[in-house]
Amino acid sequence: MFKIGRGARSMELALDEAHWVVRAREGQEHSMRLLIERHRNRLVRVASNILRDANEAEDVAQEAFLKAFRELDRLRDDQAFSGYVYRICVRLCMDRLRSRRAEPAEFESATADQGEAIENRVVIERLLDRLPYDLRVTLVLREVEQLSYDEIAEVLRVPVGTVRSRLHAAREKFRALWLEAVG
Amino acid sequence: MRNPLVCRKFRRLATEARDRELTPSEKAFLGHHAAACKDCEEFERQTSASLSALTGLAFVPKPSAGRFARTVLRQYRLRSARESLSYWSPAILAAAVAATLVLAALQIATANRAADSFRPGFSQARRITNEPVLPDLTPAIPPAHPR
Repeated sequence: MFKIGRGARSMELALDEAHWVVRAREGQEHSMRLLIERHRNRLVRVASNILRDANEAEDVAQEAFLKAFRELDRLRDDQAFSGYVYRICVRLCMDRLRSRRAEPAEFESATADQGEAIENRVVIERLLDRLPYDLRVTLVLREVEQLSYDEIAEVLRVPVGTVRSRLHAAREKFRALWLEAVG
Repeated sequence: MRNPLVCRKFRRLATEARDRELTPSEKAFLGHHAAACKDCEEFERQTSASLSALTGLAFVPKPSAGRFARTVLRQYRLRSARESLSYWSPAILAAAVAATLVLAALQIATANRAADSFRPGFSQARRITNEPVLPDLTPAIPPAHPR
């Protein structure tokens, strides 16, 4: 999954990546740097969308790379690094959400005069915080990250049927919460 | 038109339309039912609006500064060093203990030898006592007789 694209160019990129993975496994930092540069934006983006916090997302993305490099021996297909590191990142985000549950959410940053965009963002963050973390992650992966059902199932390691039911429940709950919030 | 089964089907298809291409007959069903059922039409509008609000607020990461990669690599080096130290620490400890014991043994041996050199040992004493007493071979010269 998460092949970079189709055609000769994408094949070339995938082979480059497999080469970097082999080198990174041997501890070569230059290859690690190349892998980071290729996947950094995608990881920070998905972490930001799930956690709704840019700084925390950056931390999680760094942690995901670290974990991926340190456990690179577990990766059997060298061309599958992209999905591998992405999966680690999403799982770390879920761990953060799980640990965050106990803490009350803070929304002091939102004030009436900060503009509609910020207000909307805060409303969405508040709504997402009220979703159970598994529904939240499924919803974000589908609606924001535009992953297919199969890809979500692979990332979360659950059956496709579970993804479908979670997504349905998440959309329903989110709609209800949104209605409640905007009136 | 309020038929719970039909409305449920509409809502399921309206949601699935976000994930897959519906067949022409499914699209026709949605159109007809939305025109006839205000609740379901409202449901579709609300779902679409709420999810659009979510999608519209997607984060766009700032372009990568080299700092990100540097931080990851520094952490990687640090953790590798820490891990290898914790892996080797029992061996290092054992080697240190062994080296200390060897040094202590050498020290004791050297000290004993030094002490021996200052004290006349048993063997040395025996050598002195057993020094052969050579017989006096000087010819006995008779005393000169006075003439």
